Amino acid sequence: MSSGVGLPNLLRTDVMDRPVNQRLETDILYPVSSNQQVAKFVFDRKGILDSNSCLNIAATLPLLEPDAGGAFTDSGSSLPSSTGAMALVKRCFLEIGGRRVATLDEVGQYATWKRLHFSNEYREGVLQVKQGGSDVFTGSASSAYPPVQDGTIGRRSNETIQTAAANATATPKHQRLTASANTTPSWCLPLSSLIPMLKGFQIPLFAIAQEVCLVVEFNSGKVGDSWVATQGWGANAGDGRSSIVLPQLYIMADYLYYPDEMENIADAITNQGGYDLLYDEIQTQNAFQSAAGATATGFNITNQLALGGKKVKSIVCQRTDVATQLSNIGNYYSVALASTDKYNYTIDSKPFYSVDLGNAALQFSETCRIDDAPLRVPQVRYSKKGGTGAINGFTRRTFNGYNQTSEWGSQNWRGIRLSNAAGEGLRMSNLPVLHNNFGDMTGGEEIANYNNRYFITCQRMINISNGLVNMIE
Amino acid sequence: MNTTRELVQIQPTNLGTGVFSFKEGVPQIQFDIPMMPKIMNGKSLRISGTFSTFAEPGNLDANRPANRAGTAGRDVYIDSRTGVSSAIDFISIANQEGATYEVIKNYNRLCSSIMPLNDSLEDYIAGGQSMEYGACGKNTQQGRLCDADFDFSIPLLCGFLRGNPIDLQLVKGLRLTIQLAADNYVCRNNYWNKRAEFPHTGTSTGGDLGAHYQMKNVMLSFDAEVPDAEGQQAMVQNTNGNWDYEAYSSFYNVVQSSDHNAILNISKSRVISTIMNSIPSSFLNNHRYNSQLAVQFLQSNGVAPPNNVLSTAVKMKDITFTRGGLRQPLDFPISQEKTQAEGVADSQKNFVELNAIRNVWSLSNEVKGLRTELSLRRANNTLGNSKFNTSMNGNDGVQQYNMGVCFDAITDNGVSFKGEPLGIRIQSELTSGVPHSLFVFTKHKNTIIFNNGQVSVIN
Repeated sequence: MSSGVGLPNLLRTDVMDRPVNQRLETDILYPVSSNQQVAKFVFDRKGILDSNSCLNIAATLPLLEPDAGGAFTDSGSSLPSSTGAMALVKRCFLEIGGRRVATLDEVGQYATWKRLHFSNEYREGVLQVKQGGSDVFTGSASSAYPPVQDGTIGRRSNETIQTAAANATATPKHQRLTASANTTPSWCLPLSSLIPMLKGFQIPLFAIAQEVCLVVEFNSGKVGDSWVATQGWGANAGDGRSSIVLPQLYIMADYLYYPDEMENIADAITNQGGYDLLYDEIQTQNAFQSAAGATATGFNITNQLALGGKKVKSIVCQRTDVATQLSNIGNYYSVALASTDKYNYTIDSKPFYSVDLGNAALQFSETCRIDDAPLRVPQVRYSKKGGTGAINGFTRRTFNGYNQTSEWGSQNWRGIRLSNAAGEGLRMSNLPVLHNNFGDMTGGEEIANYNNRYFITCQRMINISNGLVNMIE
Repeated sequence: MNTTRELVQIQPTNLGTGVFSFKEGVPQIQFDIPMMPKIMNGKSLRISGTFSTFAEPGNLDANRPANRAGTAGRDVYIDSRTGVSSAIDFISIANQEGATYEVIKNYNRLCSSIMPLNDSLEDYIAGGQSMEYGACGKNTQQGRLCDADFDFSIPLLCGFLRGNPIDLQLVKGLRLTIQLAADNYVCRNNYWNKRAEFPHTGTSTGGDLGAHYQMKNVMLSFDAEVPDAEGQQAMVQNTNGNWDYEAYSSFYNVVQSSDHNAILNISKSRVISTIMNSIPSSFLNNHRYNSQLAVQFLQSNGVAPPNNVLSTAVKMKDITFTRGGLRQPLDFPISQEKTQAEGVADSQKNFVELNAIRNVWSLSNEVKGLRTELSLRRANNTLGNSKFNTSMNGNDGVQQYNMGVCFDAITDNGVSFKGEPLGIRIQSELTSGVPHSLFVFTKHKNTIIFNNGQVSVIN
């Protein structure tokens, strides 16, 4: 039952109302069970778990045979450049008392979407260091020497010591997966990225009588899913499977203590009805879209999203070509069509937009409204408008041996915000939400099969009282 | 009051053929937002559409620019730091009964000051500016973008829209009128860059044949909070209220001397700041130059024709602001004489100027940097030359020079200029014969009072 009392700010990640005494303990928490598919971590019943606690994870990649033949060797392969180490995790869920209170499917895909919100500076200074990847795009030049400023963007070029041969950039050595657990890099994934519920919420472990555990399911280890190959190893990449380095799999758990306040929190939880926690749960839904035809043609699809009774805050749609992995990015992309397509959502039998959205910039703007923060995506990475296949605004300088033009229109995530200005989700009726998407497919787009993946943010609530956690909604 | 989100989409009232353009279309866009019991989020307001540039008369694909290919005579650029906003000459926001809430003349010139001071190159390239504003931040990338149609969805940087949520019932609906700028103002060829910065490669004549731009599929959209039936009824019944908002007023001056004095009767009671930018008058509406440049005064580079252009910086000395004849808010002139002579950044001027746009203590991103500030050729520079060139990874070596001051950053309630004119004195080494246009904008607070359905604006 709801208590009607929100979380005190000791259990949020806000600034405190007033100075409080605080103590921090950091434990290395190893999984109670783990294998190459799944690991389970059980938290100690003590203190308040800081949501910035991190999962330490590393993966090795076996030696591969070069495409040209010869001895097996380190391929210099790396993590998907727009996703980083989040690509190693497939699914994650938080259980309290044996009940699953929060789940995130498709961790890598969702992390790719969230990562688009971070600035170049943050990606370069924090994300790439802690999670890997290489997604800082800035002004770049053509592959010609001396450098020609032809109006492209790309990963940072060295403009002062470039030589005729140095027109390529590559994932730095310290980010490349190796075959040895001793030399392969390890990464640090915040729990709040794995479980969006923990954003802004610190779990009062000391006041929960039930077992609190985190279950992490790993990705397949296949190329494209967990890692991407550098050029020269692409043909034999299918033979390689990355492996999680189990001895390096642990949580750096930060437990917070507020000696003067813990008693009050415990009292509120055990004797006064406890606290209600409003949080976001991400649901995923997939819809297959078969090839539109053998030649350039129009397409018109409508997908149903069954969301009856839920309070929905936003829906994000991702479109991937089921048969295509992009070089350097792997399977973590959302492809734009060459001629911008239109879409609309029908909610309770009424179209949400009075005019179908067909303007790529307005689609971008609408998508930014979901988190009230701009997507940090260059125009040519979001939309294919204004370019052609070979000349598309990305530099022809290579990255890991591959031409960077493959990044063109590769992050065309499109979403709709349904929550109001106060952040309150929209209660859905039993009528399914319809996503109508239509336009033209040309240049080979029409012969591909697509997967439309929806990330639906739903508003949920739990109550923590008497040491128990109850799902309210 | 329970509310739900709605995206209100409105097409232009004067849609006509659907093409808006100075040369081959209608140069004015008008949007009528009806009076309705909904709350508008002005910050979310977007003008969306598709922007096209052409190198010759006629809106044909064959007339597109060829900036990327570098084809002689087919280079047509728009300003890379303001993008599509450079095409808006003035904006008027009134209600459906004709009461005016805000008018900004030379809106594009205002944008050329406030956009680069609020966004860094990273924001332009990867922060949504290239997607929404059609502003890439760098000339070569902007040229590539202009080679084909591109979509835009620009916010309007008007004080009225950027403040509190707007009760569309109480304000009696809105009428937005956008006047487009002239083709030669918006479009330019690469003459200045190629002749001035790369003097040995320039053969640029693009635009001589009639470069122009157009917008189509134009639509206005904004987020509205829609109350439940009870809330809507309450909104309809409410005829009283008041709220404060910030607005920009614009003024124009021509600087012709080395000691320029301007007295502006801005007549506003709560003035928060003033920001100015300048450009050689001959650059305005001239397809050989970027009319959106915000640079310090310029003089000839001293090269024989045809490579003779205004690209050498004139040494600036002092800038003084007065209110009613007294130096205010600073009781000293903002001096650049020494820094300009030494060829280093004008730290004091930059500090004061940035404070006029945003609180410098929260400053984290802007276009300004040593590359933009020290890139023009400066005759009295100890090196006698620019210190940085345009860079692949960094900012273009094009200056971002503004002048301005904040009158009240503490209470944010402003200073009265009723009966107390604003004085601006700019001392420089400008020689006669090179007039510069000075665009002055003041940010001030207005109050709207609604009394029994009657609207009055107090400024």
